[in-house]
Amino acid sequence: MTREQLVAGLKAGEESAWRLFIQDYGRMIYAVATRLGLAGPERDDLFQEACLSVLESIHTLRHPRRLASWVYIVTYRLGIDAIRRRRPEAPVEDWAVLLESNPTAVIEPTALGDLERLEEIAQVLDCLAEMDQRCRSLLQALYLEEPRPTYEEISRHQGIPMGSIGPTRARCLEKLGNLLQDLSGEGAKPSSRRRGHPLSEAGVPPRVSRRRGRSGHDG
Amino acid sequence: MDRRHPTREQIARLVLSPDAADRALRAHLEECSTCARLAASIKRSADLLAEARLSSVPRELAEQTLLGLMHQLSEKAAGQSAGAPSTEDRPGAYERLTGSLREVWAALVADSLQTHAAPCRSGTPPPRMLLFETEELAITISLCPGEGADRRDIKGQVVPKEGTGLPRDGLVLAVQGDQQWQSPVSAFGEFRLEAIGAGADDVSILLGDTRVRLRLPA
Repeated sequence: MTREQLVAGLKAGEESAWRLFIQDYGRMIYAVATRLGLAGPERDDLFQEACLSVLESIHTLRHPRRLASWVYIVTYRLGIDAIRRRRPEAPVEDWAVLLESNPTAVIEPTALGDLERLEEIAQVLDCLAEMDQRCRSLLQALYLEEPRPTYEEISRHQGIPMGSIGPTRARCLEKLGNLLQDLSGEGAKPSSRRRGHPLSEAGVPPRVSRRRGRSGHDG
Repeated sequence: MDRRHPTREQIARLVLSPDAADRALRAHLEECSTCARLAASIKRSADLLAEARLSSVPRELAEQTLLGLMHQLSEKAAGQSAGAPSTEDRPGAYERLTGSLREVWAALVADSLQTHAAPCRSGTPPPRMLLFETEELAITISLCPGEGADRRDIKGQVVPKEGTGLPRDGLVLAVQGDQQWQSPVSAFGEFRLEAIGAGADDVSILLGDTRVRLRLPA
């Protein structure tokens, strides 16, 4: 299933698409929650909240090929809200200023680095989805499939002679690097976004109203 | 410096297995900015991909979330067709999805084993009748062979043991591996799942903030 087909299925409410989304993109959501320092019920809560937010705002996703980055941002934003709810006494304005001026006051410094790396991973997954089918499936087989296939299996499944796997991988990694560079050129570099408010960027879904009896969530 | 540029594959090999690289290639990369940029690009891609194998989501959480999302979608569809308020305006929908589903197992208290007198449809054997109970609910289920090999139909009714009301927008789901069947629960508590897999023995009934689970006998 291509990225466009998946997003079309999500928008149409197809169960198979949502199952695939949770299986593949749920990992990104779960990783964001974990790297934000959430655990146990708080992490599960954020996971479900992010999935619900995706469901309610998938129709606003303008670029299906940015799905992973979009999911990252949706989850990151909700995660920050979850952390903020721990300190309900802090005024929303102060919180926003704090997050912008000194994010390590909100997020552990090491976690901040991990999150930036995760955002880059989301970008590489988006770029992977843009690649031609041959490169995409080879890199997926080499780096993402579980359990990791052997070269013999890759050769058989991809229809690539064993001796061509290395050169093809090198070519595909170069292409992927170029796509990543193009993406950075579009101004989507994680570090540049982190300084501003990552949540106000165009294409990010509107906040979904919540009814959990918690104040200040939608600020 | 060796002015002959190494191949892309040689550079990739250096990046991916640094120990295997020869000294001449390293020396070339130190002096050739074009090849050094290519090496850096390949390394960045490979490093990110190597980290992109993220941990999978705990199965129980994934399943519960999928159930909740499907419920949410069916509520939305029902709301649109009936002109009801949107899902967002209905109380409780969000709570039902985000982890507050109370899970209750229903116990099998009666099993006809021998089939009931009335046949499912002409030419088929009579259904097998089951009765499940929770503290608050009684659930009757009749099992019939369904159309197709290894298929069966489920007709059922869930009723409160006390009082008469059931929460609105109930939903019944049966799961077998990656396959799932679902049916709304009517105002009278009735539901019907047709041609479900014979191995779909994990049945959930979503009622209000409760997920009633039951296991169909083989």
